[in-house]
Amino acid sequence: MKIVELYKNKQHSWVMLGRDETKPDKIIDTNQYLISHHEQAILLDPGGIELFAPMLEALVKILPLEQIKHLFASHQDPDIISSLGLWDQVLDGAKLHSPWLWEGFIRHFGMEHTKFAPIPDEGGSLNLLGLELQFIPAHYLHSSGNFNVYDPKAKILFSGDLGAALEPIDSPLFVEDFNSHISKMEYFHQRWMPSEIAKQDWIKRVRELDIEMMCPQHGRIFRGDKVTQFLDWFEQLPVGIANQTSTELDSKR
Amino acid sequence: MANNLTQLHHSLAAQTAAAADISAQLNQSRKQASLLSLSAKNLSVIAVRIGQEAAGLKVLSLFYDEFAQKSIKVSNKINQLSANIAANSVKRWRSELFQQKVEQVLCSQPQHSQDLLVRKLQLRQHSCLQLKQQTDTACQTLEGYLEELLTFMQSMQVIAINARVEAGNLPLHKAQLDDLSEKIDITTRSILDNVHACQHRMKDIK
Ligand SMILES: [Fe+2]
Ligand SMILES: [Fe+2]
Repeated sequence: MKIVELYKNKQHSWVMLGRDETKPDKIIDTNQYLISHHEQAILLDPGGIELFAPMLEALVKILPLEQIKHLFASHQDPDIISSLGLWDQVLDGAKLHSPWLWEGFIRHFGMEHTKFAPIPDEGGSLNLLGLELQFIPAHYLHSSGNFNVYDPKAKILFSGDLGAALEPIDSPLFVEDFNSHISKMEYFHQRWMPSEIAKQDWIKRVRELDIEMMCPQHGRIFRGDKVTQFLDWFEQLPVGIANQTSTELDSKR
Repeated sequence: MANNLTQLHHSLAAQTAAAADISAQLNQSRKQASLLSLSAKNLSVIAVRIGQEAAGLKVLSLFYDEFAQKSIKVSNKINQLSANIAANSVKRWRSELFQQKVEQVLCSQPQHSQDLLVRKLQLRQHSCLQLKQQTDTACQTLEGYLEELLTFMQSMQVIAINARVEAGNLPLHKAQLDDLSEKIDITTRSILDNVHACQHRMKDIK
């Protein structure tokens, strides 16, 4: 499991954990993120059950586990949060921030000691010892209850499945050439994202944020102008393609 | 060690499946015991209609109903117990998995062994032991209940034989009574089969 510091300013940091070489082949590779502020931390999309040991192994090197007071699950997918039943046994009384919509579903992963903190549809925020993190609505992209996390101080947006790319485990961490990266994202966004209206709505919302880094849950991180490039590309991309023929798709381009 | 754990996970999964199986079988038995109770009441009605001649049959029907009611109660208890056992094995599976992962981390990162992890590991080990003890106790009780159900059914069969004898003394009603006895016999045998299957399944739980 790679540990990469994305941002550091005194007591405030973002760490990316991912590219785990020990993961079984057929499991989709995921990026996990840890935001620390003073003596408190939040783990974003902690990952699947198979990833629990490598994640724990990485985290013990970074901080005392007691500091992880919060978990965030952007939505209900197993690659996001099926490890919950295990985190639940190690973290004392942590809070899980997740869309209200999924509470009854997520609890199936096992949740005895963790407190569920439902995020309402319109979004919300979390104060991490003075650092205000924002939960930005990203519903239907792809999950019907779904949030991003925005850190206005670090200017980083955790975008969940948005910006995701399906790539081999040894891929670079950052998007260097946007155009050559498109082929790795295209099908995922067209097939997994179901709603044109939701897409436009999200793009509009995100364009208003000051973003230096956009961090997806799969694939590479977008920095600087790559963020706008992504939004421009996504804006014109037909989504929800499962029931459309290739001729229909071509006519939309 | 990994192999032992895989085996343990398999046996916990088998335990959950076996408990669910027993619960399903006993649910079936409970429905059949309700039918038995209904048949017993029918028998009682017939005995009353016949009058003094069928006094013996009337007594038998009361016994019938009593055993049917008892069987329903015991089946319900078995159902509840097997549900508890299944829930316990899921908890144990989760806890064992946690221990396995934490031990892995403590082995590979001994220099980062945090107190919290060591503490949680001990806590889980302890709670797994407790869960195992609870399951063992539940299994013993469950076996007792199965044995009880078995005795009830055997008693039912004895009563059925007596009912047939009584019917022989009532030639006018023989056909009707024989028909009823036959029904009771079939249901009783079916419950007995269920109980035997459950007793066999208990091997996967213990
Ligand atoms: Fe997803
Ligand atoms: Fe995902």
